[in-house]
Amino acid sequence: MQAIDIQSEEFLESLRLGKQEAFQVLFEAFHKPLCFFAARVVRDGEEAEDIVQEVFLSFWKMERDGFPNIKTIKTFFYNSVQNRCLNYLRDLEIRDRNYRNLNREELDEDYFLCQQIRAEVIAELFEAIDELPEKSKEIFKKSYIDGQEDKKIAEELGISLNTIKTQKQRAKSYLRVRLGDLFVYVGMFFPGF
Amino acid sequence: MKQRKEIHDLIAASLRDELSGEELDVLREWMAENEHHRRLVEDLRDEKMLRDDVRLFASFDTGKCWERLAAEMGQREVKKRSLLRKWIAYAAAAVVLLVAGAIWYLQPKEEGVKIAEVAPVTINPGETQAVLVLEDGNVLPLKGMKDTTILIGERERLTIDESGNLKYQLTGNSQMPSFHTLRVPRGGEYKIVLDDGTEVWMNSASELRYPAHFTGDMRKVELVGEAYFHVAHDREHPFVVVTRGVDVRVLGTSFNVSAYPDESAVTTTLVEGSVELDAEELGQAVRLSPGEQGVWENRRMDVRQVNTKLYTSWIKDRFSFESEGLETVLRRLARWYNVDFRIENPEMKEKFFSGTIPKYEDVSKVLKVMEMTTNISFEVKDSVVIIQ
Repeated sequence: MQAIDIQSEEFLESLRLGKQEAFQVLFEAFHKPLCFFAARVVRDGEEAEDIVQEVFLSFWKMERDGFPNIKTIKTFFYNSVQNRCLNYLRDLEIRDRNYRNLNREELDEDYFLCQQIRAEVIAELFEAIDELPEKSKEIFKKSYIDGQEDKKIAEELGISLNTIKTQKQRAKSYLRVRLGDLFVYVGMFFPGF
Repeated sequence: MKQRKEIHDLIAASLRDELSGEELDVLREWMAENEHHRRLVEDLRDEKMLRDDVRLFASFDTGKCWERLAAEMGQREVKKRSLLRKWIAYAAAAVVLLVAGAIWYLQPKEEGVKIAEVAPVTINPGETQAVLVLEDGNVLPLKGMKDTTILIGERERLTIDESGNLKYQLTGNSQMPSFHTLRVPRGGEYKIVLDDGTEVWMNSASELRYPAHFTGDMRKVELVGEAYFHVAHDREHPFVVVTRGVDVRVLGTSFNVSAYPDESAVTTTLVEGSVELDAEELGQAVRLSPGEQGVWENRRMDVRQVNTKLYTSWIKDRFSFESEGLETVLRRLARWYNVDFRIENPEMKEKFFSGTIPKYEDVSKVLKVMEMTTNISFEVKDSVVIIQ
């Protein structure tokens, strides 16, 4: 699966044809940034996930011939999420007249543009992790994102404890090169890194 | 769109201290554009903020969400999320139309389940068209006339400019106030410049009766339907728009009057200047300040603060709605696209819409935008659009 290039014509074609694997690749590429984007607007992580879920579902059910490239799909996603967020905030205001946490006047196009940029910058940071060799990535994620113990990972993957340690070390030096100064932040986020 | 990508790349690179001098200039320029931009870059440079962002970003469980989505993708029927069910308790649900500009992906297609429902009938939007009814009952169709001079009587001339706008420029010693009526059908729109220089943008299904040449103390016109007025200033001769129940008196100003027979209210929205609203039932005329709207309904006048853009954007070729009921929204679409709607599911009437859409798209595109951003679905049958 890691070999799929989402920029490629083949990928777009398999999306058009409704191949579920292609959808999964697309979902994995955009899910977190879109959730982040939505959460910045609605200030509610679960709601953000729901909104993104709906957008993907509507994309799955719609006709997808009109997208000439991945960029137009991305724009569609951000626009749809943005609209559903506004929709959600409006609902909140209708049922709760006291709900005025967000200054709605602030929610102009420029605000959304900034939130999208923000999501993409953070995504960029995360992409580096995805660029790790498959095995290191898996170990890295289990260890630092899921917070599993080395011993458990070793058992699960059927590899030695030593291999785990080497792989983690490799991931670290790769990220240090790839992220430069940003590496500091990865360290902050993943304690014990 | 292109710029968007560049900027996020530039910011990421700046965090890594990998920017060239030239790129840094581009980023600085972007930051100087406004407060939002500057704050975004500063936030991302702030360690704590960035850490919070990274945490939030990582908190979304892509794997679990995918499983949930894959399960729903396999089902034909959409499973409503649980939160939505909770909301049904609330009578009104607000829905947002797709914000302008992003409808390029809605090209009509021959195949495909959902789109095929809407696509077979292309109902085109309105255009610049109107008929001029003279006092003697003669009717002049104005459709398609451009850059023309019309002679009325012996020496009165009307000119139609290159954009198709009708302009009155009568001789100063024009005699009798002969009344003309400009009738704009459903699906039409027209701009006219009256003899005193007042500009009037007429909306679809609207009619304006006015003297070809203003004489006397008042400049009086009668309106059925909707029009936006930019009244030429003349303190000596107040301009009065007479509508069903309400008179709008002005000196020189811009405002919108909506007085459709099928709407329960007569709505006057003041953009600039000042107007007075008078009705027989009112003891005293009501004066509006800019940004205020007078709503005359059930023999009562309510004045409220509004965003005037929502009520005047139609002259700039956009529909704008803010918390409008579905019926109101559809009535406006019906006038412009000259198409009839039928709501078969009464629950839909409880829905409220906000948003703005371009007017010149054909109606199936507008409907598709609504379908995609709401849970409404449309079906076109014999040029009637049915809402299930």
